[in-house]
Amino acid sequence: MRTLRAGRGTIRLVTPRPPHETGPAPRPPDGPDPASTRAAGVDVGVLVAAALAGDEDAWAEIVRRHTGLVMSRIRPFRLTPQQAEDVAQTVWLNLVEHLGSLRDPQALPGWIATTTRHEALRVATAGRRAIPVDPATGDLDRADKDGEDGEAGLAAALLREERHRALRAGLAELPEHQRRLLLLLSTDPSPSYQEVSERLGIPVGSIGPTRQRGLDRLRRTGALRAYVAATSATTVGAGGRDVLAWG
Amino acid sequence: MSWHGDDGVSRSPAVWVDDEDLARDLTVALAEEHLRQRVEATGLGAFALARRLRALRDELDVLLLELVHDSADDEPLVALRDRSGDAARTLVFEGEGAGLEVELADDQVEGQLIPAGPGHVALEGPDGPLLDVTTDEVGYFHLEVRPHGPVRLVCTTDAGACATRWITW
Repeated sequence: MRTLRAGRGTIRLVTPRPPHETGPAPRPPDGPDPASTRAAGVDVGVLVAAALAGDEDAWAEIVRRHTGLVMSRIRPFRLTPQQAEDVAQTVWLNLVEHLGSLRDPQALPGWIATTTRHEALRVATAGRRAIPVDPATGDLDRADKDGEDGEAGLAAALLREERHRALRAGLAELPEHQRRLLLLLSTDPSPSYQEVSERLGIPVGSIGPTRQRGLDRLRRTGALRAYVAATSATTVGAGGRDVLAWG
Repeated sequence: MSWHGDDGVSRSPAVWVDDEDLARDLTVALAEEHLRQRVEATGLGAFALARRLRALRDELDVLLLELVHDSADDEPLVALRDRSGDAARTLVFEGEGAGLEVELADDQVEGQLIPAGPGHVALEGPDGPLLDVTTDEVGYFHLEVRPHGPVRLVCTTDAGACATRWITW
């Protein structure tokens, strides 16, 4: 895998690239049509080859699959939203030009993870920001640790993304009064019950019970049940342990 | 927050142990959605952007220079450092037979083409060239500029054209 420091090779930004430089020939006659690259199951190598051949849908699918990974590598540095967006854009722009020199498409998640982390670190360091450091070890607080840039890191990022998507979808399933209350209480910092009472026009005494009923109902929404079922099936089965016990 | 970091896959985050866990996770999910959409949007746009920038260069054969040194990587990380002053950041880019050394300060870029020789240097943002300058006879240049976001330098000399990888200003 190329890293920023080791990356002394040359990349010619010439289009179109000859197929022999890009691994599999872009979209062979019996290959998938562009529309099918949106399908979740399409191999990343196929996506990379199609993107190199100019297929914007394939590129979009690459981006969608790795947005969670980019987010997860930026997150520990506590950048401002604008800085985070700038770092992401830098990563994507470099990725467009790096695609052609990617020998093994399976190395893509690792490349994205490493590049994003380095870029975020640079922005955090170059700016005049206090960087959170673990006082015990002197390490950047969770930020610059290696070892999670491969498949495990990607899987964790995707799982997190999936869980949050389910939570948002579940919230949308709730009745209006519960949804509005949970939305309001989920702002950071969360408002006092007095403020909530004023903004939603409900008695302070009903906020706690409504919140609890809302959270109960959220757990039972189709979105969350589907997520829990899918995740439990893949992560609990083997050991036969109750996932509840894992805390 | 319970799952704010990067979860190991072996520890299933599927079940929220209590209402507080669930509520915290919901807060994070909602807070991150906006940024996530913006991150994805910049990604979706990057493809067309790169293509347009390439077209601007008339399909010129451009050598991509990789970042081989960044002074931002050198500085020892000490607890809660809050740096002040105007220390410049030094970057070295290299490709096959060509290179570029630059010093970034808050409102200017100084640089040197390698090998030393006259040329033309343009600072490029995602939306296109921001400004450009002709170097002196030994390849030194100076740009007064204060950009933000992703930028790169594109150099043209008798030997050909090269572009640095993107960096975040």
